[in-house]
Amino acid sequence: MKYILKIYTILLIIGMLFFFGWLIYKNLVVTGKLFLVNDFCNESQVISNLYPENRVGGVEKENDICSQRIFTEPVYFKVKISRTFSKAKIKVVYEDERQSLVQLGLMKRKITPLDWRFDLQSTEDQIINHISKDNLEEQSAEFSVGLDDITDHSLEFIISVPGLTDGRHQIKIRRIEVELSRSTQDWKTIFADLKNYLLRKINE
Amino acid sequence: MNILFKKIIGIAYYFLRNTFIITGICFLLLIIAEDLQPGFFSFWFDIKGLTIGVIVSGVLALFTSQFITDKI
Repeated sequence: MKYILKIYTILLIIGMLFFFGWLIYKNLVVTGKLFLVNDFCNESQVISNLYPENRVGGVEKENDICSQRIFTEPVYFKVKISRTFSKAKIKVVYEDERQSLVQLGLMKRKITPLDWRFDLQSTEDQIINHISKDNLEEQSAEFSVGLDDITDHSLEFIISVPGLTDGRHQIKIRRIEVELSRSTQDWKTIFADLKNYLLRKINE
Repeated sequence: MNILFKKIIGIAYYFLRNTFIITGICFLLLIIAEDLQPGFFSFWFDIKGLTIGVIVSGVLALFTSQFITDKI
């Protein structure tokens, strides 16, 4: 029995080490790409639901399809990130009878509470990256991400639907997809990043 | 039967104790890592399961400690 206990303990320790290794691997984003989805059915740990509350409805579920309505624009959602990325591609899938074009943007870091700077998708880009299929609309956009875009370890995106408020109209957001990318990691860059991280922590 | 039952519980104590110690260390390390790097674990999984594991194994180890046998 003593041996079984020893083996059990060793297995627990190995399990714990693997678990930490997995977490470090996930946080480093070694492959350089991170794909995140919020389909509103399962609460996403990383992509928030839409807010502020007075402009959007709660999460609705119909025949296993979940969505969130927008009544007044603009609305926002946050994507928590564990490290810096160079690019963020976002895709919003929504239901809208009028097939309106939504405009996506990336909020800049707020220096003061009234600081509302953002990178908004251009009108041409909005038209090019709009797809209508199976009664669903898709709008995608790509943004360059820098340290100036990160607030509290999160990226904050804006969804604007021009004319929504005046037209007393509403759209249903069905799915948000975010693809974050950065250069791939190797041992050299991992050590350089670790060094920078420690220096940053010491200076904080 | 009663003696056998007590013996099994006594042996279970050692397993529960080790589970408690290792999951407890794991829990503390995760909390420290999360404090140093926000989102270290909270972005990827819910810590509720591990917390319940630590508490349950700790409580069970405490209750079974009265059945400890000298030899395992």
